[in-house]
Amino acid sequence: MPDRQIVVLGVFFVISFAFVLRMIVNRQLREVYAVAWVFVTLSIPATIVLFPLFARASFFLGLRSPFTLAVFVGFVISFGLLLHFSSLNSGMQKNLKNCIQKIALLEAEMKELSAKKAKNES
Amino acid sequence: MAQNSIDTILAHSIVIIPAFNEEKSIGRIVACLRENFPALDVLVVNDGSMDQTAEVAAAAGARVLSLVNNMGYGVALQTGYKYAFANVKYRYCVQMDGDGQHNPADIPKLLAPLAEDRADLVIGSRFVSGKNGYTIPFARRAGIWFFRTLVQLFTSNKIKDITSGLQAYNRKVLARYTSDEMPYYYPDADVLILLIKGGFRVIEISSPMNGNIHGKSMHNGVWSQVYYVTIMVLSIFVILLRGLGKHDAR
Repeated sequence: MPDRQIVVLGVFFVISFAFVLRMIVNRQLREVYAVAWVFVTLSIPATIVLFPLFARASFFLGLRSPFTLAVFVGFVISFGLLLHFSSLNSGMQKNLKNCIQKIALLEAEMKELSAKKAKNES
Repeated sequence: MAQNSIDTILAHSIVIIPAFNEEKSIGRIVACLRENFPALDVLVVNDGSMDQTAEVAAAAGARVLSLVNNMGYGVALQTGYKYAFANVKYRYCVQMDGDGQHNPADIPKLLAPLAEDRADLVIGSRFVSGKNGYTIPFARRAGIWFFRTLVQLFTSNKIKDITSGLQAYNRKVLARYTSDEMPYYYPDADVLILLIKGGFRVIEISSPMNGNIHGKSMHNGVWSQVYYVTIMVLSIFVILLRGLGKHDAR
């Protein structure tokens, strides 16, 4: 891999890793969701270190440039991440729906009980 | 049906009205229901309204459930179903819209087939008699025709008004409606397919509707209609793929 590309990727890795780490420390990103982003940022130095292997894999798949393989891998990872977070979001939406419904039902029950109590006391 | 038997049915029924920013119409609807059917309980599910919907409904004599956020028509309805299902007093449930389009006088007509055990779900249809107090826009008519064809194709049931918000059902259907598997975005054709394939008996009776006093629908705008059609087709596809609802009624 040419030096200039290593420098660009290295700088990108440091910035993105620091950003993810800061979000975890500030509790803006919970550990359970941070795992995927830590994995993504760590894949950048892995690409630099394992570039010869990457180049060989590209050659094996019939790709002229290893960067075409990088784009493809990036697409696969993005697809996986989107699917993962959409699935998490769907689950949370169901939980949120059930919670909001439960709050409304409990609130109504509480009002009815209060009304009954007031009636009994009078 | 004798008056005292109608009163008995009404005493074991509840009307669920999901409402979002309906302060202009909800009071009139609730008052009309309370005046004409004093034995009937009225439940308004306030779907996170930003106006005085909850207060107006309560003042008119309705029980009010308030959702802390605006969760949509389907979630508001399901909250009402859960309330009704938790109370064993209610053998029958009627749902109607909060915009004044439905005629409360049709409620006994909807409940009669349930009480006589001729049906599990009764739909108040705009198309049985063909008379309506308003004109249905072309795009909506096309959508209704499309989903009606899908319902016929997958269930062989010739229901004409698959998007009617005026429905009555018994506790068997209510139990199904409260389950987590129930589609809750816009429960329409998908739910009907699910119920009919599950062996529930669905019939429709004539119930002409009035115009919406606001002149607005929840499916106004091209994007909203495209979104509705996409979600509905996907929901029907998922129901057929998962084989949901089979043998439920038994």
